Amino acid sequence: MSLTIALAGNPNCGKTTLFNALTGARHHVGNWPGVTVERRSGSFEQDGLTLEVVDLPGTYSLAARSADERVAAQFLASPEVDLVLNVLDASNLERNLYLSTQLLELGKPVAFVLNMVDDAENRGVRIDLPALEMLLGGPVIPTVGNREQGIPELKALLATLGRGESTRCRRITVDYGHDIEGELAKLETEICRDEQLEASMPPRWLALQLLENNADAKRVVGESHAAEAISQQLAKSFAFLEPHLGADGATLIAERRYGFAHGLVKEVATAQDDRRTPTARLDALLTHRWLGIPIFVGILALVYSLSFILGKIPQDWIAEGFKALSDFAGARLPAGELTSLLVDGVIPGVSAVIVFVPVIMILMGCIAFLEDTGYMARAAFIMDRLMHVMGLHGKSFIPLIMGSGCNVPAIQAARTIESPQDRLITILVTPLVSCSARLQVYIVIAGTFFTPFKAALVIIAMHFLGLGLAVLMGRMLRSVLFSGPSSPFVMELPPYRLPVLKATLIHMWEKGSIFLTRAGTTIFAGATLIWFLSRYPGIANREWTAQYQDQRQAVQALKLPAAEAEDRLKALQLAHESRIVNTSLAARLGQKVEPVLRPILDPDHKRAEAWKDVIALTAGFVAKEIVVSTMAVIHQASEEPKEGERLSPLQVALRDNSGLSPLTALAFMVFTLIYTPCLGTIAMIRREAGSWGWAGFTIVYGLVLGWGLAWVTVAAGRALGFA
Amino acid sequence: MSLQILLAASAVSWSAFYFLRCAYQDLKAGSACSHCSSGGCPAAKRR
Amino acid sequence: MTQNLSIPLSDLQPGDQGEVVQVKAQGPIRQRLLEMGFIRGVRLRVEKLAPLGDPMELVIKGYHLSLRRDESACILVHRVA
Repeated sequence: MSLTIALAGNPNCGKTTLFNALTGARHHVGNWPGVTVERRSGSFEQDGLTLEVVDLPGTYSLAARSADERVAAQFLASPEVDLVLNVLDASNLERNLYLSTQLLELGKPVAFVLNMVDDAENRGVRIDLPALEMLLGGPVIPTVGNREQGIPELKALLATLGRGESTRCRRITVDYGHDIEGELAKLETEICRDEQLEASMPPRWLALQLLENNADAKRVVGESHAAEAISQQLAKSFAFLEPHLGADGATLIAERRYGFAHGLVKEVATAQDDRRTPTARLDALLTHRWLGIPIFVGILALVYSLSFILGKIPQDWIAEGFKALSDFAGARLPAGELTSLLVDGVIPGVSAVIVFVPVIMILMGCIAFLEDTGYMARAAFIMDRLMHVMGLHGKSFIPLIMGSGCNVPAIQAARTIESPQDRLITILVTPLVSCSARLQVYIVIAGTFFTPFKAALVIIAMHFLGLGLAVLMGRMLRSVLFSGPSSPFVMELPPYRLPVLKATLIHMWEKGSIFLTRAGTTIFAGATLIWFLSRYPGIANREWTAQYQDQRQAVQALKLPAAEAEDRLKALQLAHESRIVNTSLAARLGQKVEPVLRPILDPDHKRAEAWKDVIALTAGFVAKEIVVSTMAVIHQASEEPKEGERLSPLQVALRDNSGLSPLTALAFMVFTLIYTPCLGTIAMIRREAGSWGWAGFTIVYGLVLGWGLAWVTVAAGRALGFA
Repeated sequence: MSLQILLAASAVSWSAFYFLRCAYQDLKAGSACSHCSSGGCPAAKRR
Repeated sequence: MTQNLSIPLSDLQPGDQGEVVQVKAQGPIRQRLLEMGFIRGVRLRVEKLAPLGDPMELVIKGYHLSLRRDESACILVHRVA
């Protein structure tokens, strides 16, 4: 026999830590169907029973406005739930009890966990547990989630409840006062005319929601055959209550609920010490008028440095591992299509991204840690004004900042934004931020066409351009596509807490594996397709393969010293690949598409081979890191500089042979910044925004905006007199 | 040699199919499908 | 001593205390504010403003909350000494 327990509670009440403590490693993270809301479920065994626990998103209420609240409300009302476990933050009891009043109205047995009792005691709050139990009508277990205190008692209680052996769950509901109770009863009568409606949720709960003017409730009623009767009664109730009690239904109900909560807290808890808490003292510094922002910037810099420096070690291992794999495959497998697919397509494409996984994981771990301490709320608080200018929420700052490392986890990080509109806009706008892969492209190109100092300026300008565009696009999207009042910024600033390290590590691992699945499937598929486009038909040309083999044998027969032989073989390889790539489908596509790009890449029609740039850009669709290596193949020049030289052969080739000028090179960089993000990003957009439609939109607007701005760059440059 | 071509061709077709299938599932289910990328198509699994 | 004048919450400065008179906002923000404790008669204190001037941090019902200026403008309060 098993029991399904739903964990409900405010955000920041330690619910997830409790969930982890109850279910240990045996839990599964997925999505609620149809929405991008995380669903965590797990189980534990106690006294021979299997108890399943579902962790709901933290909510302040079940009024069902945001996706989180809706999901929670629907699940809690569903027959699947046998018991509701309400987690209360002991140091914030009154507000937490608001949700409790709603949970009690759902008609299911409710048990309570009083979490963070240590925090409360430190503030001088002592709670009378038996009194609390009596007033709430359900058992209350005190716990300190992050020190795993109280967990065994909790498990034992849940098992007892599961076996139906306890009568400790009575049904308590808030008394809304004579007038409102009267109207509720009348509404319930009308609701009960429809048996289906009556069975789908407790009539009293529905009646309360109707009085609160809840849109979802009205919709549900609208579909019932008793809709007419119910609406009439509702109108009468409003007409009676508002003038009589002086406020609308929502206000009156909120007041009664808080009245209940307030009264209850007064009965069972001693008042809080008003002295300065550690949180207040920390905040005096962290949200200080002048120090707040520099500290924030400093913390971000620290997080970044940590991720990239610590992450470099495994990054290098993985890069070496892939290189070894690639060499092995190249040397041991017989030359042919599959070998080429692996060595030239899949391995470079996939490794370019996987090499990032350690860095991503550390970055996400740091962000999760900061989130759990409560600092992220302060960051949003500090940055909100700036974000508001962009038409966004303060919490949007984090994804934008993370985007400068890699767009993929940045988009994942957008999950913390509650409003679906703000979240979507943030997701669509983040790819405009210059990621580190694009940085590699900038470095090579800027280094070729500009002096080191100017190159640095250009690269910095690119970053600012990205941010500036993000602001503009954010505003535009907000006004064009998502107009209407922006969602409330109302945001709690929770007390600072030291997170459980285990929880942070679990979090880190989860996010990292999601990123890995991205690279695993979508990029593999994409790399394969791009390989096909850029190697076919040349790769199937037996004559060329044979020629190449002959040339290799000729060099090997010469028995030259190792280094020289190596160089020659490399040169041969480059020539062979170059021949294949430059006659491939991608090349033909490049030639067809070239006229469209000509205004930005070749305004004077002087470049016979401008179409080669298109091949590199197409490769960039898979991962921007590949753009440089693809250019190396196309131009038949290595991307690594020889000893003592500043420019690599590729850079020399770009400067001398490609026909690009500093201006068109700049246009190329602008285009690379904007055109379309890499496949990993597209896949993540699809996942977080919920459909390929938005991913497609990103590609299209990227191409259009990229082209436009690159064109403006060239036009402006010429107007100013640069060639 | 022909084994190589066979394997390479299957990989390419699978890749193309993968994208098309996900897009199709997505269009069919409205914007409700976010399962494809979280590792598993719901059409294949139960929900 | 409580003054009888109702002013928008956005007019309060850091350190000021107030008592909520009415939430004038409509729509989702209204419900959200009510749920977070902005009911008639509740006491609150303005803690500080963000470094860039907006939003403001308040203490209400024993916890800290941040509100944008245009949101707090829709809440009428009495100033309380």
